[in-house]
Amino acid sequence: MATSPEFMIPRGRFWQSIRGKIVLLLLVLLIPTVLVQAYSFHDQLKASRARELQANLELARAVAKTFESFVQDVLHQELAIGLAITSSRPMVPTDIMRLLEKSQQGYATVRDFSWVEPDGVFRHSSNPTMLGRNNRDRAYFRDILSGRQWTVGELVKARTTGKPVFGISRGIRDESGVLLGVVVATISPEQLDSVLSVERGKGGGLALVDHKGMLVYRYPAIDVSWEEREWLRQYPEYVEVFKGKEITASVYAGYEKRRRLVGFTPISSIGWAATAGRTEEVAMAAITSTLLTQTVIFLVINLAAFGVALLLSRSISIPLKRLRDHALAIGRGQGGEPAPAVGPAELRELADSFNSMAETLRSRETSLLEAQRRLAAIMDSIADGFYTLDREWRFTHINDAALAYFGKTREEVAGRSILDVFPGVAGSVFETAYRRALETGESQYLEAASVVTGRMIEIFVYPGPEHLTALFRDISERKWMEEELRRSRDELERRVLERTAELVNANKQLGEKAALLDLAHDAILVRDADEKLVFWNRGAEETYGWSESQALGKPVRELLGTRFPLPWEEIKATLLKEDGWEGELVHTAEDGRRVVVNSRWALQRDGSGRPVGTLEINRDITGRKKAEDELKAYAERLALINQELEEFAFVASHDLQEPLRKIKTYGDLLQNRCAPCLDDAGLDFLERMLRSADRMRRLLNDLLQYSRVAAKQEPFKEIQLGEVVREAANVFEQRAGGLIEIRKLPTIEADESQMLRLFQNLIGNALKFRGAASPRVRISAKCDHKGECEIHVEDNGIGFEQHYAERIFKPFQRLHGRDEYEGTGMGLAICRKIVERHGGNIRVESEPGKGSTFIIRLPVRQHGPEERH
Amino acid sequence: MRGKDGPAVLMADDDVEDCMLATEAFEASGAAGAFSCVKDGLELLEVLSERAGSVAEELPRLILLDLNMPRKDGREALVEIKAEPALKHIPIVILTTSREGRDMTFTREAGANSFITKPDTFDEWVQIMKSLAQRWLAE
Repeated sequence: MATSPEFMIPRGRFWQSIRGKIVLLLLVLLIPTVLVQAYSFHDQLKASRARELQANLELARAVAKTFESFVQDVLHQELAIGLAITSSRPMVPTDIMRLLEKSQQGYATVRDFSWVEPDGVFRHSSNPTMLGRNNRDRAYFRDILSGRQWTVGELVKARTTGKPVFGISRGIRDESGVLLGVVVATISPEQLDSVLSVERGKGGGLALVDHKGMLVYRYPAIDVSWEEREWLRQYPEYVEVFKGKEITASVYAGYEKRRRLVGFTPISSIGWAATAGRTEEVAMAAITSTLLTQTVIFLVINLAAFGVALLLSRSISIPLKRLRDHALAIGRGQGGEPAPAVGPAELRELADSFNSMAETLRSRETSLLEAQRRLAAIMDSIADGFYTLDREWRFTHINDAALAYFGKTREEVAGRSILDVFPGVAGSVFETAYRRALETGESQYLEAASVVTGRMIEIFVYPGPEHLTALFRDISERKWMEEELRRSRDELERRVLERTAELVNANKQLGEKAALLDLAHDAILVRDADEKLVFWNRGAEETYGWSESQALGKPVRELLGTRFPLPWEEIKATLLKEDGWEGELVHTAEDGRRVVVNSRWALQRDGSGRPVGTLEINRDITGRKKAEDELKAYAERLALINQELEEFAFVASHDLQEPLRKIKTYGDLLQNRCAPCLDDAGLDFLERMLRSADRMRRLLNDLLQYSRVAAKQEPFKEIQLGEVVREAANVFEQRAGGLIEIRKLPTIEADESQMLRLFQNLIGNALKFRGAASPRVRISAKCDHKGECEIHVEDNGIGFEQHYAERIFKPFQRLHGRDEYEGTGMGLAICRKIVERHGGNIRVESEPGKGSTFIIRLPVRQHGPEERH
Repeated sequence: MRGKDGPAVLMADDDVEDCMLATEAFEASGAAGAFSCVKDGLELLEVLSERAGSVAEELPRLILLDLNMPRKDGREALVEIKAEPALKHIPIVILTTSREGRDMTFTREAGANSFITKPDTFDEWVQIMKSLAQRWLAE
């Protein structure tokens, strides 16, 4: 899918796509829902928290109330104790002691009750360890001294135990207000459980804090040091509380390292504060877990809905995508299947209308192509030449007629400039006409000799916005006919002038004309519309043997037994169409001779154009035809004989080698084995025999080579002559040490091994017939535009008289004795044979003492399949 | 045919002179073993099948085969020998006047071990026999 066009949409354009839009739409729907849900959860959390805080505050208030009433209770007891001790009937110490102890037993929370003298000394106490202690310096005592009726003291460390305690003290005064003593209840905060404990759920707690901000009591109890009891310092909320405000807050509890939701309330009658709180985590656990579950359900449902919506959206986006791909394919010109009608109804309709649109488009394209094709066919079928050129003068279209007229193939001209294809156009009247048409925008008409064929043509040049259109036809015939017409008209005028005279001499002239026709050697005959002979001249009589009276009125084809080169219907059609026909016919004469004639026909029509007869002029070419046929047969026979001769030479020279080899080998054996049995003469004879055998072998070899040129030929292929000549020269350079200079040589089509032999022979020759000077051979070439190359092999050797120039190319011809120069006299004959097989020729220019130049003409290309001669 | 054990080299050639030359050259080369000639492919195959039927040790160790012979030419003989399991192991060297590429190709593909064109001088004949003996007759 990585290559799917869907993923080819650039990232930035995703939101522009249909899928992007659908995703956007879903997001627009989903985000508010999520926000509302989130707000609702937040609200529930907040409310739940507020409820928890309120509950804690109320609990704190209850604690404050309970503690106040506890304090009031203790104060009442102290008043009772004080009044008893200071009653008018003073109590004995033992009774006081009992009273205090009894009071203490009634209050589990009170550690001890004591009676303190106004000087601060503990006089009586339920706790003996307290006796004698002086508490004058304590704040509560000073408060009482200064007139306060009662006080609840701050938390202090007990002098005896070090444990935190606080006191509830009440001053006892007489009617005049004189302090008689103070009743002090010492309270261990841990004992307050029985008064204040409220069993709460997990994480719940309550606390009392004295007016200095010290933690007095905590339920459930916590293990804290004295310094850690300084809650005012840890919880700044108490500042406000001590000003008399109730507060709810979430605070961080250092002792349990958690946040707690706490309600604070002042106990204003005492100046203390009461608090109740719960660990936030615990308090909110229930609601949090509920909300969490809800959130999860909500998210799952929403995501599922989102996914389903996306899936559903594919039923829109996929058909659309297919439709788009299809449109792109049609845009690229790939028709193929119609777009599938799937998806929602609107898309199906869209696909249907798209398909019908594509169909219309296709059919329009088809008809356009058809029209184009038809137009091209029309252009090609018109007999006139037609072509178009673009602004660069290049052919953009050319019809068959024009190609045929110019003798070019479509490949030769297509896309090329007319100036390149026909260089003669440059500077011609045609170029002027093209330019004028382009400059003026007006069509041009021109009659001129074609620069290609030299025949008269008329040409119309029509300028277009991007091209030139040219329409031309050969009018040389028409020109000629116009000329003829003009001449005929002049003739007619002349005749009108001479009419009287003609009329006078009519009979005589008629007679002369008939006589003229009779004088002609050609057979002239006229046949009427029914193919019956109506005219038969003397030439016809001589050609065929029948006299005029025998021939007239006879059906011509039956009389002459005419054999046509084409079906009669075709000839007749041509005759009717062109008013004439020309071709070779075979007739049978009266004596049964076969007569081959060159026959020219002219159709005669009456005033209304209806054919009335045919004039036929037949020239007897039987003799010429026979000579031609004989020549052809002779040439064929000659070629056959030639071929047989070559094959004979090949086989003969091949088979003659065999006995010769034996002569040589046995001679050799004789020389090896029997030398002692022979005298000097015998040895000399043997020597001569072996030399002759050797020479015979060379002759046969050369003869074999000579016949091989035609008998064992390889196909022509393109070869680089330079390389072949270099290879040929290599052999000699290593041996003879002359200077062989090879100029630039062309690439031609030839038989490579034969070319190698040709140049080996020529270079070998040049080196062999060396003069006094060090031998030099130069091989050079020049090629002409007619596709022929002339190769010169030039030497500075001994040369020869020019009149031998032809003789040396004949087999076994030599100009020198074998003693002077060895060789068989076959080398140059082989050369000529090779060159002729390649359709070229070889000749030589030489002068004694001045060296020779061999001149080879070879075509660059070999035409068609090779013929064997 | 010389020797009771049959020849080490058997040459098939209708050319009596070449057979003589080859025999002379073989002896002149100093190679050990006997050299014998048959005059065409038919005779060659008769000799071979007779030996193969009796004592395998009497089979020649090298066959020199001419290509152009009457009755059965060297090409047919070559193909038949190479098709015969009892004979196909015998090395065959083509010794002919032919220099045709197609003869070389045909015989190589048919299983001939070498292709030699008959030489022009006696020295060359001796040289050829020497190298053939070294290549095929050495123990």
